[in-house]
Amino acid sequence: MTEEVLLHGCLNNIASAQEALYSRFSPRMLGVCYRFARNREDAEDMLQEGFIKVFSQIHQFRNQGALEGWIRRIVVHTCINVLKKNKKFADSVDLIHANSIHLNENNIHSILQAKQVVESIRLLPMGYRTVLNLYAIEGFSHKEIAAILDIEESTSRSQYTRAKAMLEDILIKKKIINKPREHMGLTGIK
Amino acid sequence: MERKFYTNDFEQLLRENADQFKMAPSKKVWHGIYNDIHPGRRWPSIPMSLLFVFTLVLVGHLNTQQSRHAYLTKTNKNIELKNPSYQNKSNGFAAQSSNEISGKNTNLKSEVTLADNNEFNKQLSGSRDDLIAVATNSISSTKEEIPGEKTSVIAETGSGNLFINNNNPLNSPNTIVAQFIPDESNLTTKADAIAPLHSINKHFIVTPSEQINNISSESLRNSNTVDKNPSLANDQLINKTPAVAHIKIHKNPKVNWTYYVSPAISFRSYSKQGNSEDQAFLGYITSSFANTSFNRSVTHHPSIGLEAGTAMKYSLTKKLKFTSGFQVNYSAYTIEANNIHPIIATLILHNERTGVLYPSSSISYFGNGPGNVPESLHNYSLHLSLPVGLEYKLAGDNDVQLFFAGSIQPSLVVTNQAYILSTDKRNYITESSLNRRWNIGTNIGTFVSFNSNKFKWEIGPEVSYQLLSTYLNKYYVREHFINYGIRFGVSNIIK
Repeated sequence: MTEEVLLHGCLNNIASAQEALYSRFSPRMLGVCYRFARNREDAEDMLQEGFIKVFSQIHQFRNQGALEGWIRRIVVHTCINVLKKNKKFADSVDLIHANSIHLNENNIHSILQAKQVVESIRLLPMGYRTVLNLYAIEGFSHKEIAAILDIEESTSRSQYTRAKAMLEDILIKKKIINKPREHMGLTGIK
Repeated sequence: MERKFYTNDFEQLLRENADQFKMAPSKKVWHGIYNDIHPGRRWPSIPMSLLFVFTLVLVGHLNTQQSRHAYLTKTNKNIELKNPSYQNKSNGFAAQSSNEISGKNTNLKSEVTLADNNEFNKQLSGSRDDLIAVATNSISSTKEEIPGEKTSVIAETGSGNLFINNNNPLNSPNTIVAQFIPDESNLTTKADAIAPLHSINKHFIVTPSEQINNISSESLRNSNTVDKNPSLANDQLINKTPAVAHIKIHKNPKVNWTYYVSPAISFRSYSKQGNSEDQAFLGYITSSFANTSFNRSVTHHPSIGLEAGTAMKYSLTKKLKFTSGFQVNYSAYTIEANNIHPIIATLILHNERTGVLYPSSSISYFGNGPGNVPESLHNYSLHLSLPVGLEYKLAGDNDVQLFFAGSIQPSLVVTNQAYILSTDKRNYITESSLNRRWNIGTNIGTFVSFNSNKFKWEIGPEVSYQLLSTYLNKYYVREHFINYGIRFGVSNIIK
């Protein structure tokens, strides 16, 4: 079923088309949510809320970009909105000096590299993780991040710098990267 | 949003790996989304509510029946237990009288026995049954004339002093209610007790028994405490009337419940709406196969259907009854198809608001008609409905009647399975979003009703027709179920 047919079905509120669209994009979107969320349950809640918005606002999609990108943007914003409802998140993302974390080697699962990277990201403190997700992966600028999270742009930059350093350490310990950050490369890829 | 170019390998690494990461969401996520975007299709809520209400009504109805039965049983036992002791105690004078009630179709005889300890034994005997009453205090009684053709006897004890055995109705199901309230006053003569009885009730004729101290009913009727001294009678009525026995006649209950089941043969009828089919073909379909008539392109076979439920019947007039209740409908038919390698099949649908046609594609596993690997597909539909209708008595007497019945049945589709023919008529696909969740059916039929012991039976042919299509209007095919069935019903005769 082509993306166009799916879109047409969703515009006409046809359940099978909606289900097909959901089946096609939900695994990747759940991965996105999982990077932001504390646990899988929270991620699924974010995903559900995100797709409800997708189906209710799908008439606003203008075919000016990829459907997946449009859905992803809605899902990411949904994740941020959910996080912002939590006061602890607001505190954590606003802290200039986040607490350092102690990497527990026993928690590291090395099933797949992608999963390892994502799980490594999730080991970061919530504030670090969110900024890193938005900047490095979702491609938001620090200015946009500052607006989204209601923080200073400088805070976003410093959060990202610290998050990046911390994640690099984690990835080195997990042997996902085998060089210092100045010469970073993927294990087996470089 | 400003998209950033990744300036170093780190961001590239994160981006690539994060994009590759996928997780399979649990089913509850989709269910949550579906329920939110299709709130009208939360199927469990409404049927469950209806089922709950129906269960409450049914339990209440059965409870009422059981309570009445338990009461009558208890009354009978009391009579059996009290009578021997009463026989032993009634060593003084006693008044026994036979009462005869003349109704339109019935003769009722009554015997009243008064003991010196003011105990009454009242026995009413009809052509088919007996009524025995025992009262431990003085009693006056009233009785209303039986207005209907049919009467029966039911006893109620006001304060436990009257026990009435009511085995059978007096040729009829109407009701006499006897209520005895003990009198605290001291009635010293039989006349005191009897006088109010027949002074109040002109239809309750007291006939004296020869055995009992030469007290005749005539003397009782002409007792100076009653007829010759109205003031005394009034005083007695005022001062001593706590001892009151009421015998009332109730008419047939206007409401009764019938339980029924109707095995049926289920058919379907097809039609197309407007010229949307042609429009669809014009834009999307080039298959010559699609140009054949719809009904000739498919091979369907009727199947077994069923209707079952309960109906409350309320007598509006002697011949007309209003009916309403709760019913389950099951309709089905079989499709002759064949297994094929999965392919994409297309339905051309039209937007009901804009009229714009659009395709909807699904994977099909079944081809139309017989093939190398035949397959029987079963289309079915299960409805919960609330029929509302009328029954008209065409002919009959008290025991056998002929009725004509009709009803409208708003219904909720609890579950269904619908294999829909693709627009090119080559394949069958399932598309649950096209199924209508609410529908309206109609039912007409005749039946014969006859009495048998404690039950009233109904049997007769009926036809049910589903007024709205199984599918939403966006699908150009209209499908209507037709059930031809035999109705078997039973209701309890309330005595």
